Amino acid sequence: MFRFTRPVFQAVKRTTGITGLAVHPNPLPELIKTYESTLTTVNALPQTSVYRQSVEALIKHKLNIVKTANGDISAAEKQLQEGQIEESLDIASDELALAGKMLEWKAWEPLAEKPEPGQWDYAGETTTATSS
Amino acid sequence: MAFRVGVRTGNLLKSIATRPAVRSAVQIKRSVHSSTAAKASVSPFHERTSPNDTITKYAETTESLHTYGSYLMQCLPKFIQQFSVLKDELTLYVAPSAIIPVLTFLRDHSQCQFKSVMDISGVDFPEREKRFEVVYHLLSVKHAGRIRVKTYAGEADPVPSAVEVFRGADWYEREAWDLFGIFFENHPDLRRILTDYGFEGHPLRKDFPLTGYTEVRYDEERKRVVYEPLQLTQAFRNFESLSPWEQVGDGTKGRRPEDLKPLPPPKPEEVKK
Repeated sequence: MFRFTRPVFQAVKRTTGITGLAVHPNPLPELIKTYESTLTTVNALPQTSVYRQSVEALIKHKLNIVKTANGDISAAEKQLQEGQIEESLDIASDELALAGKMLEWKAWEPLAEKPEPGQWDYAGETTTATSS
Repeated sequence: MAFRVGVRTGNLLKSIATRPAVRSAVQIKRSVHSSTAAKASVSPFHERTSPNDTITKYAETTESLHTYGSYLMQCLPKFIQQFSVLKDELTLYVAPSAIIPVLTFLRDHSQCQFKSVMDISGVDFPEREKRFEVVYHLLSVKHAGRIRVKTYAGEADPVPSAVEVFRGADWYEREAWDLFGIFFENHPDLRRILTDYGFEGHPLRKDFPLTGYTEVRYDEERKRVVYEPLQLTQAFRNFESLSPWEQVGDGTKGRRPEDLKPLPPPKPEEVKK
């Protein structure tokens, strides 16, 4: 298919087949914008935060895929492995909202509230890992 | 003895009449079958027991869930107190003040995507200081996985309502309020859902009597159903605490990776899916 007709193909797509998920007319620029604003939001978190490191790695990886797809939506969908491009958009905007909240919560700090002794003791066998 | 021989020859004659001779010989053997006294205690089954799922089926999942659990715990060190893995089930233990951040993280993070709450249940441990546990069961359709989040509450202290994160938590929390009396803060509509109009008490608490406090009958004179204080004969109040089922012991111990310790911060390359 010619490059010029690709947005047209997305316009021809009538439904995602998923309830509540509308077809986006021009998803890739929107996706790139969301990824980039996530990266700038995450920059405000401290370097040592595991959340920041993992999100940065993931988003950079995805951004790279979308940019190298060069406007080809189906190629981007295939590489991202998140289903349709609209689903990827959904996940990306979720992550963007979450990054802002993580900053607000200061989630990288040490444990805020410790359980009382014996709170999580049970009779059976479990394999447990504590943070302390 | 003479009778038995007679029967045997009778069988023999019958089988010769209808079937080939080889099969009739087998039949003779079976007709006098009885186990000897020495073999009486031997199990009659020759099958092996079924394979242990903890070792065969879940070993790999258990290990990877440990990795995933420690990843979640490092992402939210402020909120998650501990996690545990049993077979293919991962459980996070958090304080009630942390329940909204943890549920929001599990819903929105691209590695979690637990979009739906399947159930919210309560557990009662009367001997503990904070006697109730609230358990959230979440499902991720995207990654085909489930997770469980546990928090605790005393009789007087509330748990923040999860309705702002999951709209479907509404009725589950009403249920927990109804049956356990766990109070959910900021719930839009916290009232009874399962018990009868005018019901008093929370029936799933351990100190609630099995028979309840009232009994109901239809009164012919007043032409309506009446509630009366319970009058139960003493014989019904003696409960057997022993299980009628045969107990099979503790089972095998769950596997845990030997090298599981707080992982170092992952390198950016490692996290890629």
